[in-house]
Amino acid sequence: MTAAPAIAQDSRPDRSLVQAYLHRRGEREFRSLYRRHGTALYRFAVLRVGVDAAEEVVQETWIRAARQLPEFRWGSSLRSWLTGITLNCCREALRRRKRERGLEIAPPVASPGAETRLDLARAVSKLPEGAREVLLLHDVEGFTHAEIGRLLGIEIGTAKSQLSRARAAVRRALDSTGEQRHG
Amino acid sequence: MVDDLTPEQLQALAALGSEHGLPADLEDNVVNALQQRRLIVAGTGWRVAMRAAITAAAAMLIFLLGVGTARWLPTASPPVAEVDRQFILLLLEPIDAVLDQAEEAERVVEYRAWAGGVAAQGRLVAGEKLSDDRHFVGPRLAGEIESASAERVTGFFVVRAETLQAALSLARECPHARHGGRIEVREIQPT
Repeated sequence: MTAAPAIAQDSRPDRSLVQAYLHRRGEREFRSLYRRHGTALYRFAVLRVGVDAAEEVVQETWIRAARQLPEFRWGSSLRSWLTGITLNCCREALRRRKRERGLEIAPPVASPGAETRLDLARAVSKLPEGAREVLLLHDVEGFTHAEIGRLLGIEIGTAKSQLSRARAAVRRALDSTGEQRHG
Repeated sequence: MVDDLTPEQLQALAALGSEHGLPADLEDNVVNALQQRRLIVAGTGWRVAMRAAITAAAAMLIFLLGVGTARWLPTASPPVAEVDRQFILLLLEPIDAVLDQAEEAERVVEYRAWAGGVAAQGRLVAGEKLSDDRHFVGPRLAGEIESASAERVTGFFVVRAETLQAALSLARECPHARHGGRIEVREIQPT
């Protein structure tokens, strides 16, 4: 396996970088975009579909993004747009998994031994679909409610109430786990 | 608003997944996948420009040849964009609408041009004109409702679109709507 080529960090804003990439479909510009946004997309995919499926999801995300970039109208940030594509890829991966295995729960992803984070990951994985996406997008990825509304096609108020319910459910799950552990 | 999670728990939540860094070989895998699909072009300079020009010329030639033989569609569409959702655009016309040959030929040219534009966006999946003859299998409807309906489906297009709104926008641009026909847009549900 060859190591990815060393490329100096590109300080151009996303829009300029995307224009440069589309101008000649250049590898250098694409790698710069990948390195700028890849980590966040991968982390989101890991939390949504688990480590095993995350690489495939991220690869598919970039393929779709590269195809659809000429149509992107910059009505949102590039990160938000890419996350939307990742979200769709994750949903498809989960649907495939559900068909194949009959379950849709994303596996906990915290490192073994990291007790709190593992509890947290378990609690998040048990949330209903919509609430889980809102929680991950808001509390992990840092998107605003307006951005989440656009990404998920829901009202801002719905995003807020789902986040509130999700946090409450996580809190209850953590309290319950703590009581079992210490009781 | 009182958050249901403590600051420590919110902090832990924000850090969730951060221990999973990008796999070292994923970047090269993604770049290779894009190169295979020509979404990244290897090399630079006049060779790339020349190759792109030759590719474009070949695509145009194929498109023009296709137009000569297909009814509504170019025979060789560019690769269809990988948008998740597909919609069918059912072209409806009043049951008593009659076109003479010249009008129909004119329509075909218009529809073909529109379909070519949709194909150029990588959004066209299929499209056909349907014969006026209708045949039914299964129980007849009471009162022969099907033959008394005010409209008939005269053709269809299947397109890829991110949203229903995007599919409706495509439909609004279809010449069928300009000629007084209605277009029923329905999402195809994967089974």
